[in-house]
Amino acid sequence: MADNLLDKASILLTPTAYDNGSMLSIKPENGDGDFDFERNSAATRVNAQGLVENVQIISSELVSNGNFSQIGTEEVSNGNFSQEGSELVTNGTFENNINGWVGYISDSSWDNGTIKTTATTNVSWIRQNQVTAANKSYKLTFKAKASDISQNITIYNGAFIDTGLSFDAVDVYQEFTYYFYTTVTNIIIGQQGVSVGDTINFDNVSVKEVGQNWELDTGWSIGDDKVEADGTSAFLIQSNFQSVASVKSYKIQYEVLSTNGVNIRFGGGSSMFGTPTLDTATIGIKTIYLQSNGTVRNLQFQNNLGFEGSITNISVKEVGQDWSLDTGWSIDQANSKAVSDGTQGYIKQTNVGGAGVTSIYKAQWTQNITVGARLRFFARNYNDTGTITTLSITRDDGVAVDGGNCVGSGTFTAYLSSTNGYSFKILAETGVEADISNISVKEITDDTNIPRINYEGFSYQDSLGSELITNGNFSNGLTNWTNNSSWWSIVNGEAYHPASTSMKPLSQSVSTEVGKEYKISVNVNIVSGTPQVFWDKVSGQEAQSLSQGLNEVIVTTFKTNSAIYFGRVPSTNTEFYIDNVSVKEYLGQEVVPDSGCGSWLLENQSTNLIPYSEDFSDSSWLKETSATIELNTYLSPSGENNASKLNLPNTLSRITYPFSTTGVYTFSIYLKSDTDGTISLRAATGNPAVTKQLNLTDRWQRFDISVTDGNYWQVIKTSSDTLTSVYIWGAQLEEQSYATSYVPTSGATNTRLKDIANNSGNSSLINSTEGVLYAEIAALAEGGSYRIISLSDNTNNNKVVLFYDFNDNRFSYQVKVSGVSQSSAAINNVSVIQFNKFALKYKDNDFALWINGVEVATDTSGNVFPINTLNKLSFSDGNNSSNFYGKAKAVAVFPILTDAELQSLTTI
Amino acid sequence: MHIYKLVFDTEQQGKQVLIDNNVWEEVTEEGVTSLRYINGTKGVVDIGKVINPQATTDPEHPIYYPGYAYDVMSTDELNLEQYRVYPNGSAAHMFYGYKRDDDK
Repeated sequence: MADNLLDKASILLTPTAYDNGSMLSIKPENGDGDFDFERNSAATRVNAQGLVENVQIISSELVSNGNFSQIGTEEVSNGNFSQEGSELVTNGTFENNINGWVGYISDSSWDNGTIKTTATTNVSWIRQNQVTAANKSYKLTFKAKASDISQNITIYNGAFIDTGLSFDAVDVYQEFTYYFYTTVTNIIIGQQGVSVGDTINFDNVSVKEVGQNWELDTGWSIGDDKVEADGTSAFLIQSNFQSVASVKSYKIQYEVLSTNGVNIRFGGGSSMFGTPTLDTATIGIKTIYLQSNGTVRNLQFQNNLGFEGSITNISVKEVGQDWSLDTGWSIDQANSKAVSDGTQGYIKQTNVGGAGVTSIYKAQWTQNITVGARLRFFARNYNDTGTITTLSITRDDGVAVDGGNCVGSGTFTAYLSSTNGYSFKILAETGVEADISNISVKEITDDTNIPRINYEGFSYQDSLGSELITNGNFSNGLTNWTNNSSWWSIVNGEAYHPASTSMKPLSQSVSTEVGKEYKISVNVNIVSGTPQVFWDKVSGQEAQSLSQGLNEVIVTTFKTNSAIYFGRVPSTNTEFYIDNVSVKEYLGQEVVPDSGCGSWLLENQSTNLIPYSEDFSDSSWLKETSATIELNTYLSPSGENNASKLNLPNTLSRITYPFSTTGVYTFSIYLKSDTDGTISLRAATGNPAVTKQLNLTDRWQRFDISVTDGNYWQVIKTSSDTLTSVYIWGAQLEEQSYATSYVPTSGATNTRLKDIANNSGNSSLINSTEGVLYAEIAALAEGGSYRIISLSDNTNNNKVVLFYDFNDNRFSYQVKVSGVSQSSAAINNVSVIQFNKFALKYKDNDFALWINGVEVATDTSGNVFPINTLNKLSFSDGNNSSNFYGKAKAVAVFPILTDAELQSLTTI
Repeated sequence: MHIYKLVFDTEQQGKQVLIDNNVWEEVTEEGVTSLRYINGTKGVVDIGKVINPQATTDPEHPIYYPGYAYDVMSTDELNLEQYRVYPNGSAAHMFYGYKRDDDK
């Protein structure tokens, strides 16, 4: 709508603002154009975030991290010990003589691209100075052959040490790898104890720093992507892990392999986790949740028990953000709950409602008591310094809670009244072992005349977990990446793979779990050939070719603690760059907030006849032919974890709500699935039943089926359906020919009353002698009733009306003066369910109806009203009957407009 | 606001009692007959026959309480005491936004 036309409107209502009892027009600004609104009941809408919510909820979620699922980024550097520094050896390939190398107590010479060292006494060594730094760990690799294989290879790291590496055959090249810790800056490799004249040829000598960010006491050493302990009492430390010592909860994971059955633990005076008791298992992936002590800052393993073996994949991520936990409480992020161990203590979150805020709060949480009787709920102000008023607390089975003593397991709901904000606070008393989850606090109102702005037409995006790749944009070079054969390098900030037909992957371990979905994304710039990404499965690997630009791959076959690799497609000479590598858990699709379009929603009265619309375990729901229900553990369209999984393993497996009806009724339900597929709704109207096959995806959709004289209502797997399990929520059966907005029930049928909006304007805002009534609206059903928008004098005798009527796809207007119709027309074949723009011009002997930019009816005969007759704009007929039930993006009153303006006004 | 939970012998008796007490009126407009709320009536819900959950063992063959039920929400004080029941927390129907035991 052009701006200049908006300026001309005397009354303009758009879905912008409302109060309890009013829909607020944006013109005029003095409030004379506001509509009186009445419903006298609660109602649901789809909010701007795409969630189905009670309109009496007037805030978004106030609790942060209420399901304890939030997890921070990786805080351990080089936790898998795979990090390798840059090449430190000069001329390790001996392509140009032996520059940089000398024999050490032996002679050396260039031998066809290798260095050949000849023993002059009893040693055959080579040496390069200024390679290493003291007190660091390194990885040495080289290729060599020897004329005397009787002695092991020795290196010098401040002392001469036997590496245990040996030759298998005389004068045959072998590849060697050795990790060492040094106190000197030169590297010496060779054999001792050989005879004068014995020779060794060396090639491809490489030394790179490893074990970065770790401090290894004597007894610890770096191995292939791991750190090893020999049983010596010693520490393995990442110093100053916390920049400032603070009390936080962490999820800690590491993979341990003990070769002598002795365990490893955190410990020592500088251990930020103190010396906790760990499980006795000495092999496997450990996952533990600990709270830092807030006094010291080191991540510190202590081997004082004689542990021999290795550790790797050490991960520490913050969990329990925004929560304050006393001793005894811990966070179980993987299972989205906080756990008390029997030690008396509080769990709390302050400032859920801010200082000075006066409101009613609805707090909900789910608790599970394993030992003991109860948790205690405290109603506290914003900073937990004072008590606020508890209005009621109930358990989900209807049991009322007295004195905050929440006995037993279940979902509890507390209503609280405060003049000074709110803090959520629960106490586990001594001996009580319990967990708590799904904590929610919202501001609510008990007002029952709140208009609804309903949103639809959302865009969707991937819902993803936290980043699992470290240094995916290569801002820190190739740190955290394993660079096979040192083939990769950083060029212009991207990881560069020079042309090669060989497999020389760049890889990184990722903390994955079997059975979950993950999304790999990477930007690829291909110079030649075909690159690929591949990953470790439980058995073997799987690959996906990559194309130019952004690549996104959903992976379902990761093994636990897998790895991704980038390389060339086999046998294809490939040169390429990669950047912005990301791996995140793929959680399905989610609404892009604020991507939908809002409209006023006005509905008829309707009753949900199903008494348990979300509890499908109730006996009123029949589970037949092996159908089973997994209750309330999945995220629902309301944003709560109260959706259920319905398993339908066999043909004709079904869940049924038996209910006999007379007349037209509509059954509706929200459904989604893990994978795209079909399932059916079926309603019996005799034989055969009416069946409607549905296409489900991993997005929630609401489906419905309408039949006459039905007697049972089902979600069923027919022989042609592909899905064996679906997620369900929010069932509704109502005496309507279409599904109205969801009315939740929990033990009783529930009625939403009708929306009434009228009494906008006055005679100075509505010109009785000429003008335009404009509406951008959509119907909820094609026909069945009159649904009127009117200008009137509060009677049916003098009115200008736009309306849907009993006929499908028909839109009409009428101008009636002193009870006599002056002009009218009915336009067929209007898709009334869609939004259309209607404008009716009224003037003596000049009437015209415009729809979507087209003048569809004109009438040059008829009178209009005396001045100051029309004084009211309503979503109903003049006498307040035949209420408009539908959606409205705009309703406006204009002075007379030209045809060009009417065309502009109504063009979509 | 008043919420009345009413039980009549039959559906027809209930419909007529509510007309007689000016809860609603039967109107015919342009050939369509309907019941329209009048006076302070905000909602009338045709509950019908109410299932007795204690007596019902087979959901497909429910056992009903005697009578035919209507729920009425109104700002008026209605003289319908002889038909009122007070199921309190076990009511089979509620108005959305009100407590289940709002029956006074």
